[in-house]
Amino acid sequence: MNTAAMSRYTARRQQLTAGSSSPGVVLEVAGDLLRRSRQVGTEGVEDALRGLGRREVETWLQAQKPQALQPVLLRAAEEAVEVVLDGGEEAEMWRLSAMEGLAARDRAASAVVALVAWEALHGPLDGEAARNLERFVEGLGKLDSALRPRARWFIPLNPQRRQERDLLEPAEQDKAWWFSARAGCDDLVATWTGGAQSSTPHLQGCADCRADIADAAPVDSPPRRHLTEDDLWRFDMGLMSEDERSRVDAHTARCGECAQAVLALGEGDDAIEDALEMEEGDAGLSPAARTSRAPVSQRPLAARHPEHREVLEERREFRVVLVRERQRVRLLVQPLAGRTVTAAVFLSPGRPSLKPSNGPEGLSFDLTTASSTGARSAHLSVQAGNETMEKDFAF
Amino acid sequence: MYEQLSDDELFAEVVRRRATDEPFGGPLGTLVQRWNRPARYVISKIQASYGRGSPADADELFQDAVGKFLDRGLDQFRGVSQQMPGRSASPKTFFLRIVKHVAIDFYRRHREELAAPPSDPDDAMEEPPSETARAVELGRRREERAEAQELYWAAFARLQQEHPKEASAWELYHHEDVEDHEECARRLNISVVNSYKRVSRAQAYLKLYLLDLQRESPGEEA
Repeated sequence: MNTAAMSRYTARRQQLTAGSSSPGVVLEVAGDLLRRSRQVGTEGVEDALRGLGRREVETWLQAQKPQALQPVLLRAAEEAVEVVLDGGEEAEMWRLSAMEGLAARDRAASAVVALVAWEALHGPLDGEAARNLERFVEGLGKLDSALRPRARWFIPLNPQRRQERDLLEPAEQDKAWWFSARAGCDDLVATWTGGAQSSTPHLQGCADCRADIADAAPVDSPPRRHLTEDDLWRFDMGLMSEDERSRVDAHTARCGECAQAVLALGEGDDAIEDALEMEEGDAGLSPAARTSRAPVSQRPLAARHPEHREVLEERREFRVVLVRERQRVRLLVQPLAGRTVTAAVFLSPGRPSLKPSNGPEGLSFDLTTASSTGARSAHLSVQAGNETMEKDFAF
Repeated sequence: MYEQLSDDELFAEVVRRRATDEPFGGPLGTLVQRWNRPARYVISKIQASYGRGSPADADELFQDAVGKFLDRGLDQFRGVSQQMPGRSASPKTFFLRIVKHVAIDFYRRHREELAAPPSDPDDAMEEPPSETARAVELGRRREERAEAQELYWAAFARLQQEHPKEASAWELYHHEDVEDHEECARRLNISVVNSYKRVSRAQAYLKLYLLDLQRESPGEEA
């Protein structure tokens, strides 16, 4: 039995008979009791409504602005989420404040019910007052249409919401979405910060929770921020900070599309050098060509590492890259899409594979020694999931 | 009349005329005409790097590069050549660098489109029915992915607006591939515990924002 909530409504009953209560309070309290009649009784309600004059009701209705409840409920939603995210000493404060927001919406629903009862006693409102009542009810309907789909925000308040829901008459429970919608979905909260791995019988059986988990999945594997045109330019021109360059390194180690762009920057530099050399080598050198050719020492140096990368193979599961540095050659097998990749490099048949090292970019096979002893080709074997690849390559 | 001038002299003339609002089409035209051949060579190499492209693309890219050189390049070149003399030693090299970037940007942008199935209905009819259905399905999935991405970034924009600290931590940890709380903490000048907390809070809010946006988007039930 929810004694705390019940005693709160019982105490509210005293406001009906206090005499000094405003028409709004009388309507809200009367409605509160009418909507919970089986649990708390309706004693005093009829007398209080009979004592409420037509003029008082009309004036009260004229002042109602249901849209003002929207920011109240939105703030309550944020506060409700803070109950679980904050989790500290302030959680109780967030909970009370959020529940007060829901109570504000509930009091408006009570006022509507009380107005219907009032009309049964005094006769229907007419003219401007009738239109104001219609606008009031319509405004609450619009508010509910906009906010009911966000009921998941109130899940952290579920223990208190269920208590409130259970006090309501059965016919009122579903209408009072602020107390009843997603009131059994407590398990969903764990997935907000922990991913969808924590499956429980409720999460498996609740269509709303299943839909939420599926639709929020992009947050569990968020898209990466690709390098923009400006990023590439600043990277190429050496205008990036050390942290920014680290970001480029980290990103291109995992993103084939951006790695290709960085690779193309290097190939473009080679092309620029070649183009300038070709022009220089032309028999009929024009003055312009001569003067525009920079001394070798002043040629543009890309900001990237002094290495040349060649993509030998790109599959869905992995990428094979030959990396030539000044005095080093290595073969990289980079896993894509989070796959585990195994690979072996054989310099000649019957000999064991080169030993790879595992680094942030994937498996790396150092071919420097082999290259210095005259080897120029090798055989590569890669396995990733169900995909296998056998390939001879030159280096 | 410009033939006898060197590149540097022509470039200086373009800059001077531009600064004094005089017509500079003549010297600029001569200059970029001289650079046409190396520019096309650079474009061809970028095309080869991306495994696609046509001579028609090359014309368009060359024109774009000239436009960019004019719009931003002239001032940029002056800045770069003063600050970092080694980066682009001559206007020509700088122009070729712009060409390179214009080409790379173009093929990055068109990567998806170029990989897409033919849009010509006649071509499509030649495909076996199963291939057509597959292409349609791929197109639909691509569209859905694009839409999902758009909503994700809208949710992230809302996070940036309403919880900027959490958004910064999320941006660094996930979008910028740091994925290490110690490094996040160092870069944001916060404690490691705080980094964990901010990323976790960001995750919760992002999910809630994303779900709100999905339910609000057209076609979804309110």
